[in-house]
Amino acid sequence: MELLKKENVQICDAAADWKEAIRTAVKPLEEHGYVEARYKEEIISNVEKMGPYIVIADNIALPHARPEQGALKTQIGVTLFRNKVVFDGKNVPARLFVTLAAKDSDSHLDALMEISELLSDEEAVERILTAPDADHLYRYFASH
Amino acid sequence: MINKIMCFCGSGLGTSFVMEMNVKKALANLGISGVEVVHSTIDDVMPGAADLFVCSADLVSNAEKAGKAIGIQNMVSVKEMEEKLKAAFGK
Repeated sequence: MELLKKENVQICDAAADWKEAIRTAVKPLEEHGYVEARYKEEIISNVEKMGPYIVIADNIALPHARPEQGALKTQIGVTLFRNKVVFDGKNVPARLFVTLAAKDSDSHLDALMEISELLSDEEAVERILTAPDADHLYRYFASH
Repeated sequence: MINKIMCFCGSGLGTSFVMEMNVKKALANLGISGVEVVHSTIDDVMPGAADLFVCSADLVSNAEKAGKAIGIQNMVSVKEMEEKLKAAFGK
């Protein structure tokens, strides 16, 4: 997966709630100039308006908003929380946050296709969820 | 008759695209061809926009106002998509 950079991969212990989890998951992309500061709040506001549609499967969230909501450059960030993050109105928790910034409607699609394929493999997801450190986590994605 | 399927999410960029890929895979597995599959945002969901709407389970009540709809729990699972599409196509 070419789009993913090691500097945007992190492992965190826990988040106070789903909003904090989203802010944490967006942080590397914000610090490295891929999204504006408002991007994380736009994602939170989308979820508040439309429900937790970013939780795409058991344990997996795909936080993202539209290009015009503050995405500057197309990039992916990976954040793994050791503890479960619960979303209001969702019966499954999330631990793996794959944050997506897309500068337009199609530059991120190849990466998304690879991510989707990787995450449809239950064994791969199990390996990712139990990654011992950020290096391993990065490699599980990068080598796919 | 289902000729057009619209997968949608809140933003029309991420979740909806993942579902579009899986709809295409599932249709191929089911041997169904000639169906147009698109991904879009919730704003495009209206009667007549598609014959079948596919979205996350949380958004299905919005979609049902516009027409026939299926809600997906695990959006990376081709298996779930296949089972639900099979039922929707009456196969």
